[in-house]
Amino acid sequence: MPTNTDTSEIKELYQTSSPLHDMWVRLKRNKLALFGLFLVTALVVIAVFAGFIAPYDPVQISLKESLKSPSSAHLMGTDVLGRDIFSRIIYGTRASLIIGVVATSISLAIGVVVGAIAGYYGGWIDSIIMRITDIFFAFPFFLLAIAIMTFLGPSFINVFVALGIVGWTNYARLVRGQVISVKESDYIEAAHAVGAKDFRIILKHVLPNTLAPIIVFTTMNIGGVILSEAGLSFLGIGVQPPAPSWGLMLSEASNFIFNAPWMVIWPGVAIFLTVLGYNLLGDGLRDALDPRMKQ
Amino acid sequence: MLRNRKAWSIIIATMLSATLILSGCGQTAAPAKDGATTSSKPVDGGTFRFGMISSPSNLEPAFLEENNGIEIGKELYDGLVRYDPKTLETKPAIAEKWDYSADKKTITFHIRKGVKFHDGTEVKAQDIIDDWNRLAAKETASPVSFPLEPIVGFKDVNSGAAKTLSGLKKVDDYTLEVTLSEPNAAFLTSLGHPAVGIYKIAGATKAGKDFGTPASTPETIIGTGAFKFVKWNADQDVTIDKFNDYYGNKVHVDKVVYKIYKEESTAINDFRAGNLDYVDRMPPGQQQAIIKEFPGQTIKNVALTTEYIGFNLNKPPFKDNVNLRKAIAYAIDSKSVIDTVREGISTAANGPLPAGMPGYDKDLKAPTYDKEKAKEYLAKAGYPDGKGLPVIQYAYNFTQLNQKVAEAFQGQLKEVGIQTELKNLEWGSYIKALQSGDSQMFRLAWGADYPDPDDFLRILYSKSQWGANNDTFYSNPEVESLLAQGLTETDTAKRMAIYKTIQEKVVADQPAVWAFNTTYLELFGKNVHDLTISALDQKDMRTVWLSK
Repeated sequence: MPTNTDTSEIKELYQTSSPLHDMWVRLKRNKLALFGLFLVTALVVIAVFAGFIAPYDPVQISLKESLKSPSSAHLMGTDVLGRDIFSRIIYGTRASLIIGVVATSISLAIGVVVGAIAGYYGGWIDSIIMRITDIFFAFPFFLLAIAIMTFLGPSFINVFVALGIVGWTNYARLVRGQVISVKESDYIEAAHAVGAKDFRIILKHVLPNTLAPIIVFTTMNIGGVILSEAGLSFLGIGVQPPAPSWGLMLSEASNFIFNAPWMVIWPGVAIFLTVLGYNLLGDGLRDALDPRMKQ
Repeated sequence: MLRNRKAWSIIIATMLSATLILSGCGQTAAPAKDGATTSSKPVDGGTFRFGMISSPSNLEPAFLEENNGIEIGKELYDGLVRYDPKTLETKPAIAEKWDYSADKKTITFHIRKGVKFHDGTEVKAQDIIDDWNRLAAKETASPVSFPLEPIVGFKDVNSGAAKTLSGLKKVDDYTLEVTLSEPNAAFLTSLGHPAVGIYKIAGATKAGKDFGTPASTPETIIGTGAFKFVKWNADQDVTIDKFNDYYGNKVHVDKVVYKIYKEESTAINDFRAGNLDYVDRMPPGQQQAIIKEFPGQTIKNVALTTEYIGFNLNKPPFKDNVNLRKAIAYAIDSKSVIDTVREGISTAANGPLPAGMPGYDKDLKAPTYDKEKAKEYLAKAGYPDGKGLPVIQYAYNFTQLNQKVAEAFQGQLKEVGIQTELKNLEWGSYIKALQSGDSQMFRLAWGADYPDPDDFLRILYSKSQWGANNDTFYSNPEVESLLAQGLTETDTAKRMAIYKTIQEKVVADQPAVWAFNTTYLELFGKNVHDLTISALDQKDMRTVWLSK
């Protein structure tokens, strides 16, 4: 039935002309990336439905249940205040995801604007902006975040701000590089020729063509930001107790490594899976979006 | 300065995050007898390796204000009196005996003959006068000159208006007359604080700014204690040697090395490796495990410290609402917090005074956990089931332990309908906020500087301490006059009766919830004998000995 085969091939060819679909088709072939996507999706679902999944109130204290090992009543055991660790892990997903996404968005917004301006205009504007970016870049990421948190004081919102502010330099560099390579293209020349304003050119013609690397980098960066949140909370300057946060749970568990190892293991596993999920997905997206991988 | 002193006591109590309790009597290590290694006859010689958590801040008597400095300082400098480490009774030291004048304002100290400084010269009355003038002087700016405050002329010297305390008089080389502004029953006891210990002032003058710092040498720190200073390697160790011409009891160990650790678990690991004979503090979370790991080698030492939750009585909602304060006192279950968060180490307090303190009343019954009563009082306070009660700010200085305790109490208060918001600060800004009255409900601990109830009750509940140590801003005219009476009454039985009444009145007013008496878990090696630890948490190096 040659006809049938032809039709389906034509159909696929037609559909691959959508870049998103194109990407999806290639992503599907990458098992690891699919696993990453599964982890990330699962996290989002858990975060959204935390209230239905968690068997206990994550901040409910019950000293009678202090330091109980995992059992059917408490799947992952309890901490020293008798709080259910499973419920805290579930709710901790929310804190981690919100901070990961919001802080990354802040970095992304600053980085894209700064990078696009520097890359598009070039010359002395570029030099000044990029030297400033270099200065920020030169600070060790985590130390700068600690300094900002210490200055602003520990709170949930300030974690967004601190991680957002310190993370933008990578985006600025990435976007600038992409913009420089795109802005020499013929279609940009054409846009200039028809009299389009700079703003419109950047927004409509330049940025959309730099999207692929930004998506990849953002995805992988969320994992890093979640890790940083855990680090800040571990040091006591991130999310404040009694709010459930994985980093905070780890920090609280550090004294109990020997007599209540479950307090350490579960938040560790949660952080590990989350960061792994984002990294695998990010890797997969990079391969899927790379035009050289087109067959 | 007084303020700093308190602050330090509190800091220490807090930072070490242990609190106290029990009988208040000193405890002596009694290692399990294991045949040949234990003999009842003390063995001389050896180096006692003492694991200390965090460095002493200074070894100058005028700056012995935190636990570790006091720990070492009390071995270097003897005072006119000392505390019996087991009973905390005031016993003769450099002063052999003393007499009171008829009006109780003048005390004549008879100085023991043949007491030697570490350089071999003899201690005479003038040395004591010189040391005390220096301690009281404005330039010294000592945070621990409080024992001298009752002496006539203290204010003048402390403000810089005079050079010498007019209340000190040398009768002859071995007789010192001390005149107080008014009779003071706590004065003699407070002279056991190592801040008023005796040292050769020539060494201090020679050392100048280096006196008491790690730059000190045996030529500058010339004390009178059972041990003499050898060296201080900053952040590493302090070494002291047995002083052979000591006038007191026979000392057994040749040397004590205080090894300084930043963290408890490092010290414990060094103990396991056989590099220490004693560890002062245990890593939180592992205390029960350590008791099991080293059976018969731990001491639970109940210190003279009470940890409490204070209410700011100058501000709503606690101002003029004793029922709300009682409701909180009944809602808080210290016992279950001790069993869990505090690893079963501390004990519950029954009132303002810790158990080992003279004047402690074991029959005193401050409110303890009773959910029904908590609800009843909450309704009486005008907030049935917590309705209408604003969220209360509950402040604490940050340590892992304080935080866990605060979270536990927050949960218990919530059960009766009292909502709280936790707020933590680091120590410096925390204590400033409390002193300026910027608080609602807060945790603090008070550790005794010397074993006298005045050091607790007047310091914490007298109006004269507002803005200093009375952070609840408690004031009760009856209590105020009783406190004054307690200080001047020299008959011990009458005096203790006064303090009993004061405690009952304070408990009735409930300016605080007295939660814990701090207890420290301490670990010693199998070859350590006769290690006595007082309720002031001081370890006596004069009696300890090591079997081979």
